[in-house]
Amino acid sequence: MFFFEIPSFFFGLLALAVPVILHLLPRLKPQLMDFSSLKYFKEGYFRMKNRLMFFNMLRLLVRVACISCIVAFFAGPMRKILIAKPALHFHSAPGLRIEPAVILAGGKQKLVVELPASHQMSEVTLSVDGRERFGRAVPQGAGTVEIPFSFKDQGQHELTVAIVSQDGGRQEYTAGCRTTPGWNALFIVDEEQLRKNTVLPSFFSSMEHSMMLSSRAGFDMLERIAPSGYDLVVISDAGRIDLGTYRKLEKYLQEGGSVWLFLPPDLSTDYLNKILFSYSEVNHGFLPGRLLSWNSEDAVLGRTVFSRTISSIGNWQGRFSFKGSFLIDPEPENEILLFSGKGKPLLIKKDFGEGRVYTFLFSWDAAGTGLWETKLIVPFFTDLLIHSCPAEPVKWYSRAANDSLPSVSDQETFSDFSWLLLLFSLLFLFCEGLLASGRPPGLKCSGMVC
Amino acid sequence: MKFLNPEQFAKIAGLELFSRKIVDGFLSGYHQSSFHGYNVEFADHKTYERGDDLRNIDWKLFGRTDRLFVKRFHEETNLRSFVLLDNSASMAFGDSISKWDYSRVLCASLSFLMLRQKDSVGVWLFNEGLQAMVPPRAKKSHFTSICRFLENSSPGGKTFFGESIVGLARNLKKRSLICVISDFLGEEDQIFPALRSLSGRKHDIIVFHLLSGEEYELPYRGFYRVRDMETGDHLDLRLDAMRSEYQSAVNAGRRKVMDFCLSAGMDYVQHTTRTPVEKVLFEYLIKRRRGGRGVVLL
Repeated sequence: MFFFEIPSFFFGLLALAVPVILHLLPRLKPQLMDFSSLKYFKEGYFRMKNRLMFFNMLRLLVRVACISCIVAFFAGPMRKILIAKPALHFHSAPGLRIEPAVILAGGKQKLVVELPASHQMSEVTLSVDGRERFGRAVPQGAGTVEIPFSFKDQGQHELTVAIVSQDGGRQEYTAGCRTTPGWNALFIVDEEQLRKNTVLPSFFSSMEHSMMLSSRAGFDMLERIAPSGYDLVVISDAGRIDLGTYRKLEKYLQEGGSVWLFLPPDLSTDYLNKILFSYSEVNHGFLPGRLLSWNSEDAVLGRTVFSRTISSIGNWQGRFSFKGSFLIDPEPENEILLFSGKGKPLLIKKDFGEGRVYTFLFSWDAAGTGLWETKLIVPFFTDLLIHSCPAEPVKWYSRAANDSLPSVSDQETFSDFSWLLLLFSLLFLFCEGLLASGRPPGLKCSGMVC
Repeated sequence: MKFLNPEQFAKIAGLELFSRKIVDGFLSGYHQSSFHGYNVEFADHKTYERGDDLRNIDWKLFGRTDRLFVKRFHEETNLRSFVLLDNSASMAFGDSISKWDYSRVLCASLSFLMLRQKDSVGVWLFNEGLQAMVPPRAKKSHFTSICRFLENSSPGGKTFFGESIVGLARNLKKRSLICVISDFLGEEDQIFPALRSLSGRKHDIIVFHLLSGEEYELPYRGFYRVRDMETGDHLDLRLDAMRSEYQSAVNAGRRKVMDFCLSAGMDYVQHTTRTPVEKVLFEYLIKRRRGGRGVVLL
């Protein structure tokens, strides 16, 4: 979109009258000359006359173009470039991810559209796989529009958000995602413990949607299957990690994986390997802080209340008892998700590269905690799973064919074209000079004036 | 040989004196007349050229040499000659010296040359028709009459060969030497038939095609309203830009006249007013003596 900074300079276009008048007015008054005969002039006369008309017209055009460019140069031509930055910011509830997005089918999701103050939208519509539609009218001013929805089926899905502007324009954003019946979790657990049908495998098994469980693989599983293929790696016995396994886990975490690390109370300090403490480049390896003590007699006992620290758990409370053996002094940057009744940390989250390590200071089978009996284990681990595998922001893309909303939140930039017009002006002046000399290159036609 | 510049004409009082000076000047290096007549005393042979009269071929010599030669004769009787001088308005053109002044000098010089050979010479002026004439005489005093006649005449009218030349050709019964001095700016479809009517009557014709120096070179720069001196028509022209096209047209035109004259068996001399008159005469006579017919002195 072109515009001019000082349009009033276009009054200078009145100067165009000068070359036009010069063109129309009679030229120089010729000197009178008596010549013997016009016989030899007449042959080239009409040919030269046509050439001269062309030449004069060309000269007029060059002059007009030159003056126009000069006037436009002073008027300051600008071009407004609308860069379609993401007009709106979309985000969804945790669990909604781009490929390989995994969300629970049937789970409630929520699309949130953040509106800038300058928006001119009237309606936002969400379509799931082009069938189901959830529409919302958009209020004026800044704010958000929330559209709850759910995927009923597992598999590939496409979300399309259509925005209708007040003037009828329409813009669509589309994102793809995939629903899954559960999480791909790798359990590194002692086979003997696994045979006990302990609580956590039972939890995953009891979920409505089944899960991939490679419990027998143990640490050897990491040798054959890349950890990045899993949403979660559960290590029930941190003491059995060797250096090779640690390196694989470290890489897995650096790439954004999640690890649940259980420090069970029956784990002897004799088993504690140095990986948790010194193999890592950080001071404490995967541990979220300094291990203060391990004493079964000093085990933290008591009833624990789920707090709202875990944001995805929601506003609910439950009570259960457990017996913990380890005590860790967490580093301040790490987040304590669960406290004991005595205020001791029980579950600590530590960011490790792009990934997260959740250190549980109680047994992985939750034996003796009464957690299973409280019926709270399902929502607890479900929310913890969601928290452990946070959804990446859905990357929406605009469908250009329907992109007709330049005023929603376009970014305006301006480019100055004055230099171009100045260049053209000089070029036309040069051409005018050539024509005025009467001998333009390749145009020997300045012959006659009739 | 040092030639008299045409501009010197103005410094010499009188056409008669100037013409005598010219002829005396060039005859000092040229002692034999080259105006040969017909059927008189044998002079010499010349190589046959296209257009020569077949009757003058020396067949005996051909039998001996297998080459064609034409016999030439000294005219025993007085040669009757005419100078046809174009006095149309276009002849008045010329900045330093007009074509008319130049052609008068040339005409007088030719007359003087003829009279010096004791030939009779007459002068006819023509433009749209035959304007005036001095009948041919062989007296030496006749030169004065011719000069006076030329001095008293002035150019005017259009160049129109048709009536004037054809009429003259019809009236000339005896073979004559006819010198035509003109700029040939008339229409070619009238010029060529008229000249052909002269050559068809077996006259010895010498065509002096005269151009003004300015007319040939067109040295002007700028924007002019160019008016035709004969018709009064005008065109507004930028002459410097027209120069190349104009010169091309002039060259094509004079080439056409020359080709016609040579093909018709006429002698042809092309020159400008910047060529000294005696040089024109000298070069032509030398050429004629060697059997040539066309001389271009531009």
